[in-house]
Amino acid sequence: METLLRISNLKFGWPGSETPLLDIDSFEVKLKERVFLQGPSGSGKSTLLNLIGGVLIPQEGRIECLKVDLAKLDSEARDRFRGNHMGFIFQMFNLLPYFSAIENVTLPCKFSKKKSERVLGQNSSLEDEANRLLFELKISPKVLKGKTVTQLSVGQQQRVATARALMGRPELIIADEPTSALDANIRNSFLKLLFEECKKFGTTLIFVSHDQSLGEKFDRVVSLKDINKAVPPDQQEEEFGL
Amino acid sequence: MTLIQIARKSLLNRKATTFLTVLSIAFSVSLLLGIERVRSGARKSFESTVSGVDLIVGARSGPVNLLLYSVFRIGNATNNISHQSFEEFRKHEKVKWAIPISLGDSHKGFRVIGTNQNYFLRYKYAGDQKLTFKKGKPFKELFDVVVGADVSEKLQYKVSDKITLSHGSGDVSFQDHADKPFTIVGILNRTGTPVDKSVHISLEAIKALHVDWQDGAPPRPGKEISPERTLKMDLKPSDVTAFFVKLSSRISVFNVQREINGYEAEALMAILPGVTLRDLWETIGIVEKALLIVSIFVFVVSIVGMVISLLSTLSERRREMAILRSIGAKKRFVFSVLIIETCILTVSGILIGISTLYLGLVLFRPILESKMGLTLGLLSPTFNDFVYVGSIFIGSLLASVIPAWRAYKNSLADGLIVKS
Repeated sequence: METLLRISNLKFGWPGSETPLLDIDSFEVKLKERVFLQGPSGSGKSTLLNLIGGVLIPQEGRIECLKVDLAKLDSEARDRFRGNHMGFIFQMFNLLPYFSAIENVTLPCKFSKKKSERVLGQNSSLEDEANRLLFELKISPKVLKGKTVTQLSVGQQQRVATARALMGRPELIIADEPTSALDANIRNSFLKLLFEECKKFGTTLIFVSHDQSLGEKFDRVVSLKDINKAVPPDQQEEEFGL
Repeated sequence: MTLIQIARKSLLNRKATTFLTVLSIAFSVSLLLGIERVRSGARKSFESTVSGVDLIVGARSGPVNLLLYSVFRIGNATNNISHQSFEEFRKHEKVKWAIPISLGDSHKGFRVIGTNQNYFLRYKYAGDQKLTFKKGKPFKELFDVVVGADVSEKLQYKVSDKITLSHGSGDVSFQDHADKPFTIVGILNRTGTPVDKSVHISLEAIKALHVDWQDGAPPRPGKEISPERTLKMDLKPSDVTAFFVKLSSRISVFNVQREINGYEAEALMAILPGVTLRDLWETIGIVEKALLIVSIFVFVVSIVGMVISLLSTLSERRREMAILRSIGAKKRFVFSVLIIETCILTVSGILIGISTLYLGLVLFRPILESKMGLTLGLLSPTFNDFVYVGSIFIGSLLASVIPAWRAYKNSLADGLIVKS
């Protein structure tokens, strides 16, 4: 199977810090793969996601996404790459409160020509596509009627955020603890919907969570501890403390 | 397009602070422009008190003093000048016309001006405005009087009312010219100048009032001369207080001024009203500067308020910025959002401020002009208005760099994930 993301010999440390925060020899994600990246908070997860998203660049090593080495792109090109090929779902407060649900979902197309072209290329308007995605994620127009996005339930907000991440069919979706604010039963149905959509579009999914119980639903579980040779500062303290 | 939409909606999402910020900017804009309007209006009405006059001539004293008593009816002349000198210069080859004025009497606190028919024909104010009559006509008979707009309004006079004048210029005079009553024959339209507060009679009438006086004292009993007898007398005026001169050609103004100042028969002084008006304004103009400084401070405070209100929202907007970054917004987009927000706040503030000001001007201008004699000029904006509005815009744009830079730094530190 083709590789979507390949990280090799990556070293990253905050400026001024002697020990690196991340030291990863190799981490690969195949196309259409659903990877569960597990790690406690403070293990460098956020930093890794910022690196994959192209907001940070490593001091050493390569981050290849779709065969493009992100570290070699300039800041604006990385922003464009992220906009064109990735979709993000965060833990909470994913939505811009001043936009409607539809506006939130269509927003990525305003920042990415590629996403917008992909939608329009299917002879669908941005609004129609947004409605379709929301419908598939079990959010009917009736639910949204007369409500601001902040008035939706957390579960509904996370599904709107998922629709936004899926909008324009990016190759990679990065979900950072998207279920940690959800109740157990809502969590399961949310995951089910997310998987269905990723499967339908052939989207690769990197799902980050500290909750190990979710891991069994994924193609592969990777623990950040196992791939990261560096000992993150939080754990240094813990280890020495113990 | 997306940028403006995001800035606009984000502002509307914070209605209360946005509203207050716009309000404070609008307030400072109307204050600044309003003060500028009053300032230039005051200056303009001040400078247009007298126009179309090349020289003002009086007894030798200070130029400002001469201007004050001849034009503004403030203070008193140190000395009168002889009517003969006036006649001499009136007939001067370079002089087109001259208007004499004779001061010293009053009517219920309003100054009495002795003058001649030329006053109503030639006297100009506010550029090219001539005196016009609301009712009646110029004085013709000896005991005719023409009153200014304020006089007729305040004392509720109408044409053909009979009034008596008093000796001296104080508010309360102990020596009335009660023996020689005057009849109002004309009421002037409002000018917004001291003319409104003047009572006009002929030079001959001034003479007639004092014909039986001796050495500045009222006639002794038995020596009074009745009005009927006065009418038959030869009332050639003996002196005037000052006179306004219009030359045939302005080029000769300095020559004539020199000639008058060097006049040998009498100690005279000629001033150029425009120059002296400006000198006088410089001294009283400190008030306008104080007003301006106050309004600039109000503006600075409103800008500081805007910056504070933007800064205070930044911490809760870190997520918003991270979301925008995650969907592909560039680093500088975050910066631009804040700058555009400031632009929207400032421009709305400026527009609301200007509309409020103009609404106020339209509503209150007639009152200001008639009650306070303050001409606020045309409604069209002045060059200074553009300078102020421009500085307000640029000032707030510069100030907006502070929250914009802060948001930018926050966003760089956060990346895509905001830790709560």
